[in-house]
Amino acid sequence: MEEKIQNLYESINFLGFNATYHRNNNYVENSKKLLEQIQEFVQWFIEEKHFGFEQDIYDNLNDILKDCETALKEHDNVLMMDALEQGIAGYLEMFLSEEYFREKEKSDAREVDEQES
Amino acid sequence: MPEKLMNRNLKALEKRFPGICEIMDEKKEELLQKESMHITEETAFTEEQILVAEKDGRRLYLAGRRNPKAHAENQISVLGKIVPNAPVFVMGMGNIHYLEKLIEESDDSVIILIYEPLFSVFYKQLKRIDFEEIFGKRTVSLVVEGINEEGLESVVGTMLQGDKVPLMKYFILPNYVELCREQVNRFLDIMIEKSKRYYVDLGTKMFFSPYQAENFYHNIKHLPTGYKAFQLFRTIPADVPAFVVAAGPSLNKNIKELKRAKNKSFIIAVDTAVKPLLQEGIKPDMFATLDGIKPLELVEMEQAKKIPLLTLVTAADAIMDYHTGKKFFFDEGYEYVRKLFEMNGKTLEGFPVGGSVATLAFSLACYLGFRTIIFVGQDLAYTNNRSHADGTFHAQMLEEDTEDFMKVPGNYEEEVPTLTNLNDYRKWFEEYIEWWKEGHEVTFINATEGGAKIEGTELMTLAEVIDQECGKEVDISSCIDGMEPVFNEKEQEKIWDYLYDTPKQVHEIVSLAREGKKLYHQLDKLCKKGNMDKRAYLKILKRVKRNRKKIEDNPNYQLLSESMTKAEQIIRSGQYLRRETIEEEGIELARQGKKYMELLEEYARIMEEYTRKIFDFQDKGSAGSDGARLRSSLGQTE
Repeated sequence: MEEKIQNLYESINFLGFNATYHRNNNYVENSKKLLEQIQEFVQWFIEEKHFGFEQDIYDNLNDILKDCETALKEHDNVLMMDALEQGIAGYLEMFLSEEYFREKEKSDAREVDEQES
Repeated sequence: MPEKLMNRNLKALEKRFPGICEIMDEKKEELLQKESMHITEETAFTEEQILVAEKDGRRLYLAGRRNPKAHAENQISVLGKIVPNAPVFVMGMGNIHYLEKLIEESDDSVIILIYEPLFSVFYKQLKRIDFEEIFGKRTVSLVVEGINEEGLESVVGTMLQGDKVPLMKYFILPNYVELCREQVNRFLDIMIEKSKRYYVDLGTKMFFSPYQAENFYHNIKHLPTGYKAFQLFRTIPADVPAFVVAAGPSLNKNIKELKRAKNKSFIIAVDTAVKPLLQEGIKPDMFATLDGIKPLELVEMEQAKKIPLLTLVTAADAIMDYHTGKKFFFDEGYEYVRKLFEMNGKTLEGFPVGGSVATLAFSLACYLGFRTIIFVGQDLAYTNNRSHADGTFHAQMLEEDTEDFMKVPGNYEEEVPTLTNLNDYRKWFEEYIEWWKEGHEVTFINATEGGAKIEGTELMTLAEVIDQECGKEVDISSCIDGMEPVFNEKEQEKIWDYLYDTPKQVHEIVSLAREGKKLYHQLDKLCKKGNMDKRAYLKILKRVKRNRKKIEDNPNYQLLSESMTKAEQIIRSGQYLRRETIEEEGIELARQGKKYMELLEEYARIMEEYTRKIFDFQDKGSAGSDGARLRSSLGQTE
């Protein structure tokens, strides 16, 4: 699952970057490709209740999903972006290891070094 | 509370845009009804109120529920460096964090246009945000649908005048495409059109427009021994009137009269007015030059050589070399120049320039604290169908056919023919005067005995003004003569060493451009592969961004980019087009990027060679510092 979470996390980052950097107005359309993965993650998250999270966490996730649904229906780019980047991404981060972020940071730093050398 | 805020905002807007309240009162109901959009507020997770637009049963957020600031911050960060004096176009004010962030990330010289295509949003925001607090003293243009949208094209045109097109930035708030696609497209079309016109105007010129960078590198040698325009503040007594003398055709009528104002005022002339003034025996206290391609002939008179000069580093090199007197500089926004000041713990102040030499001279007079400022020869029109005063471009200026010219209200005639650029300057003067009067007690008198009417000025003949204002004797020359250059000898030495390093710095751009080309090549390859690897894509884009940042951080890049009109055209040619897939966008990005880097490399090479010619010297083994050798190679004395 960790690989799937990582992929989804990176895809969300990518969509946001693409929308902002390229001024792409098709955020909702592009996010449709991620729905299946989001669904899979949510299902897994809910089924794995033994994580021991408080009910608020599940309610909040439910709220995010509702926003995704509304955003799809209304074709609301702002709401979808907010739900994915400020909502789902936060849940995904809980399951990404510190090592992943450390590696990410290192790889960024390596690139900087490469550039500077 | 909302009503109170709205009244305060309206008051502030009325000051900036006179008449706006009346139009709003008249049209408000009609516009709200026409849009039939309901703007509601909702509490975000951050506790702040955000806006939601409801129309035709559809409900769209204008800011994120969870973090209203997040996208605003991302959007501004991807705009890249917002250089001083850049025009920035913003469509939509439904989420004010975009503007807050933009203002935070740009300096005061950046000019912002906010176009709000939804009157309902504008009306709502009047009751929610404090415009004065957000804008401060910034130059902000505001265009609101239904109120003044007919002015959008001309405001965009004005903001993109001069060499501003390559500096421009723009963004559209998300969901505006959903809410008002037609206006978004119109907005983009106007920007494309205005940018195109700029490039068409340049089309017949050389592939590059190198004079700006060449002038800069040629003229920078004058800076170490130069002066700051702001050193004149309190050096020149401000309790006498200031005459700003331009070279409009009406100068013929009262030029002789101006002799009476000498030594009883501060007379600053534009470069084109210098010859006619000197021919009449009037030596201005200062003259200003700005245009990088101004012919030397306009000031080529022995007496002009020593007149203090208000100038730019990018002014015409021939004029700069011909002139041997004190040169006064101000901040034009060049990083390179700022560095020279910074390294010596000093700063170079700037002030609004306005795009013409007359607006520059006028702006300086305001900043020097004069309380009476008088225009002479400031026609801003073709009075008697002539462009300039006699003795400027020709001993006697010829009459021109002005039948197709636009007409504006005149000072003494009902209307006078003029050109778009002159009319834009007129508007600039009017806005500036209005703004300046808000914080200063200054009387602006127009003693141009002809030409176009400038709102905010009192109309008088020159003879009347001199009788009324010129009572006190003053010796401006001796005030200026006693001034010391901004840098002492040691500081000058440091600057020369930095100048000597210029070819090496420019060469770094050559190397970075090569590297950038490789990165875009990788991007192209990646996007053309099926099932694109998104991680690799992001990685390349990150590296592209870093490469770009390094290029942009090089103090010489700004000069190169401003001169590389063709290269910028490549970048801009595709930016408005909307592409279907991420891969297509990537391929287009790579195409533009490769082309741009190729041109950057080529141009940087030309400039490297040029700077080597200017700054390099053969005798590297001779004694003395790099700076001293350089000075000697440039014919400068210690």
